[in-house]
Amino acid sequence: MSETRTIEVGYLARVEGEGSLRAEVIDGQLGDVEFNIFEPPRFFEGLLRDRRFTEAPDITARICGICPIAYQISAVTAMENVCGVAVDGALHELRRLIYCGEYIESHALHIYLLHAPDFLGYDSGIAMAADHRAIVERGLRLKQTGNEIVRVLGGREIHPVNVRVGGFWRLPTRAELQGLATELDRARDEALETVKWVSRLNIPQITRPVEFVALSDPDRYSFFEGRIRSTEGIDIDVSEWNDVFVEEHVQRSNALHARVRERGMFAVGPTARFALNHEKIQPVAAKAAAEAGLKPGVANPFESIVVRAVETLHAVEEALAIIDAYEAPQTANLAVEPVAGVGHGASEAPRGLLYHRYEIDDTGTIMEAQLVPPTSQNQLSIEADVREVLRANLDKPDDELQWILEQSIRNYDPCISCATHFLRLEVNRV
Amino acid sequence: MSSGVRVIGVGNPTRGDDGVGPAVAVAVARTVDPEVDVIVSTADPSRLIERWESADSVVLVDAMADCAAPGRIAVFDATDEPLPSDFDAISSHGFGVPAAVELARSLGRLPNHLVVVGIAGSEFEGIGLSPAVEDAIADAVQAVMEVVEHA
Repeated sequence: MSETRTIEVGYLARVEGEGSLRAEVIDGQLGDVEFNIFEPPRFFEGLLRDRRFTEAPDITARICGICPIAYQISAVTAMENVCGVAVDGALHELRRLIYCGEYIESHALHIYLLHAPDFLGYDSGIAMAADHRAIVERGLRLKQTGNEIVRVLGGREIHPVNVRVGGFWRLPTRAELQGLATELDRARDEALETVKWVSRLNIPQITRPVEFVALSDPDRYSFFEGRIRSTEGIDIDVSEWNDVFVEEHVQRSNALHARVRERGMFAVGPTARFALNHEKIQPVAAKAAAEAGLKPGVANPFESIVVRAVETLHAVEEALAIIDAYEAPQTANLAVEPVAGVGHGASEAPRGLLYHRYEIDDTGTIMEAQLVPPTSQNQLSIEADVREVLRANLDKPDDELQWILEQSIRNYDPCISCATHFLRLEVNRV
Repeated sequence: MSSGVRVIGVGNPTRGDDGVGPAVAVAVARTVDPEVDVIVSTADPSRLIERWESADSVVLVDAMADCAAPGRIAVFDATDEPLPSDFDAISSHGFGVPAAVELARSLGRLPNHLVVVGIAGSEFEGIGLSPAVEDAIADAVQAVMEVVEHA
């Protein structure tokens, strides 16, 4: 007679959106593992059709409450790409600055309130806060520094409105930037302490070979510059995304699954960026990473929390450097006239590469839109991690198993709301 | 009576009935003693902890998702116990008011007295309040004033 064990997480907490996990163990052998996304589809790509090309940044920003800047930047760079306009100089730097704000805000939230509780044995950030007040207060201050950058550059903290095709609606004043620099000076120490703190957490040792994919630029740690590269040799222009990758519908999920056409699964996100771009990270972040024992290209997904902390420090330092070198541009935005054709844009959202493709006509009407968020690119990799973690922990009781499986999904800081446009865990032990 | 009292209207006026918190706060500001601080917060609820710093007594006004009874008003003293599920966040993205209150409690940063006035909404899209919620503003203002006067 066979024995079936089913481990089921019906509704995953501390992730963005609605999903579940179901795993089956038959006679001690691992069976099916399914990471399901049941958040309803959101039809954003359809909503964009027949809208003006200038509306894409504001419409797509609504896909996500935690990474709206990534959506805005991918959208505006795609539109500027098709219309043949290069937004560079100080406007480009201001876009990098607001992106730093989004990294600080998103990473601090995930590190302190969503992921660290897994490592310290708490079932929520709120429960953890009662025992670790000073640490959580530090995380909140850091997050608020990121929020403040987004507020000043974006017009408001939630769903910012100031990024537009061609540049910005309004430029920040010197006094506003100086105010941010004062906060960032304080945040630098907090970010450095964050790296030290997460590197001392008890990090499970599980490694699995994986192809990392990220935007990569010879001159800097890319937010939205350069080419798409991978640790297995992919090196393409952003416009070639569909030639090398493919999105597929899988019946159990309302999110498309992406894979490399020739090989299959890959991973995007902080660990992928650090693997490909570590030489370009700010020196203070590189030093902190080395002291934390972080090695580029590390394939232990549980170390992503350390990489996220290193990127937070990088974003603080980068933001200070941008403000220090800033000279106001002549104009807040460049004129962009519609040109019929197909535009491609990509940026490195906190969770990983976010690719946009738009076809517009000569009046500037969007004919077709394709949005590929990071979580749909990571789904196969998440499932592979879950299988690996399950295999290594089959002797554990269901509650401990569920804990480490949820933790391994949160390694990706998944945004299911983006991917449907997260977790019930079910482990079936047969 | 009003020293150290702060009324905070929470919500996003471009998300339909979610704008009722700010709308009630604006109405309260017109009638209340000028010593009472009245502010509107459209920011991330995790920043509420900063918003109520230095206030002794706080009244939060927020929308609740209860499509079956739009306009229903609930007054809840959150000083010593968590908010009921009526107040759970509508968004899966964020950090809602109940989580912000509980985080502040864990951190020892709740005001001495915290009352939440919730108004049930039914439509959370577009600009403007639904008729039943609009009609409930006067009663919600009254509920806030009663808390302020006894603070």
